[in-house]
Amino acid sequence: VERARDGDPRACELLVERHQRAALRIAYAVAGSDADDVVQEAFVKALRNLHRFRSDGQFRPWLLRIVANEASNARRSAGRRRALALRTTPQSDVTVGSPEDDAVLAERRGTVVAALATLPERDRLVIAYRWFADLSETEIAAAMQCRPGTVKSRLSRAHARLRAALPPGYTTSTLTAVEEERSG
Amino acid sequence: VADLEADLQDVSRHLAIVEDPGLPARVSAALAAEPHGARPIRRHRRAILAAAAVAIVGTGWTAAPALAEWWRTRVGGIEIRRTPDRPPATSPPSADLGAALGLGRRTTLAELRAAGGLGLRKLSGRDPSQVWVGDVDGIRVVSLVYEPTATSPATVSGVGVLLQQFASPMAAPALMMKGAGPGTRVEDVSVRGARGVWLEGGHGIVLRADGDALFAPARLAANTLAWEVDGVTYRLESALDQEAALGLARSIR
Repeated sequence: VERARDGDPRACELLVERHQRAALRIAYAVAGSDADDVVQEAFVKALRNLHRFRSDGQFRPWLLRIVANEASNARRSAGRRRALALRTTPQSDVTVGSPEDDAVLAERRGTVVAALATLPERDRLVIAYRWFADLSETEIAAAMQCRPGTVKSRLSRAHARLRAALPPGYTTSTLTAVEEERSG
Repeated sequence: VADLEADLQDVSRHLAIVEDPGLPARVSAALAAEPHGARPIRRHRRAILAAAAVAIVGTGWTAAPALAEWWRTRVGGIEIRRTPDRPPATSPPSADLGAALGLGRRTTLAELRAAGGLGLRKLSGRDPSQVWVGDVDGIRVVSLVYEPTATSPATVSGVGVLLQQFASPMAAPALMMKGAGPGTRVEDVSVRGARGVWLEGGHGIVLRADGDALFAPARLAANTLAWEVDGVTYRLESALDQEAALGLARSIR
């Protein structure tokens, strides 16, 4: 970060490489298919404003906050009434089970992600920080500029809303059953 | 809860996004093309000349995404966009100014000072006739209302000068959005060395209401000077011309 602040282009590129994955995931959860453009713009903005980043702070939460706000603005520009489209793919970095299991899991993922897309932005964001970018509570607190205790309650509220947004037919046992079957 | 968390982990592993190996180089190129400190405003100014072709419907910021994107600028917590629409009609001067202008609740300078936080500034040598404080998406917006005088006539809302100020951290989304229609002149200005924008002619304004970008109804705003100093955005709305508004802005203490 220090080197990037001094204008070292290679250091800037390294920062992009290192944080691209988390940035894309946050942008995707907030702005859907506009994520690529959002992330590029957010990196440019963040690197250009590195002098405003406190050296004793954590870079990733600071960056992801910029990404989230850029994504929020992009979504608003694109028409905030448009339904957010989030998708999952069959490709996975985990071992796949039988075709039947995979079909069940894929359907389940589709259900969860569709419910997630209906949540208010703030709920999607805290869920994305926690589950998609793997931030700790302290890091989420830094990204959302709140106390760690507030992160807990926001996350718990977001989970509750997500649960409420799931269709009545959704049961929590299918995934567990498939996983147990796999591990057994 | 454990099941839901397992589901979210599973979704996370399968999100339909792909990292782009070309991104670091593109970001690097964008930084080199417009290094830190360069003001992107000239690009916007060129775009203004061609803005007549923009077609956006509705309130001006919800439709035609590709077009809505291609001209906008920002000063502190205020975002300004070109729109071909005339500004929204406004209700006539109302007894309830706070509601009409979305200012929040009535307060006093003493109360604001006691609450601390943002260093409050007001017009030199004049006390506001009304003081309001609002909360827009968790950020405190202070509004000082000055009565019309011989030198600062009433705006369409019936106030002489409305001076608003709020903290605007760099990473935060814009709190206020302004739609500059065909009758609105937009010009870059400098207020004691700080970057600002002058909007002359009525324009629409909406306030960001929460993190999910819900907006209060748009209203018509008068001539406005907006600038940012040290992370605080100032907005001065009046019926004054640019020179007089800049004079007032320079006088705030």
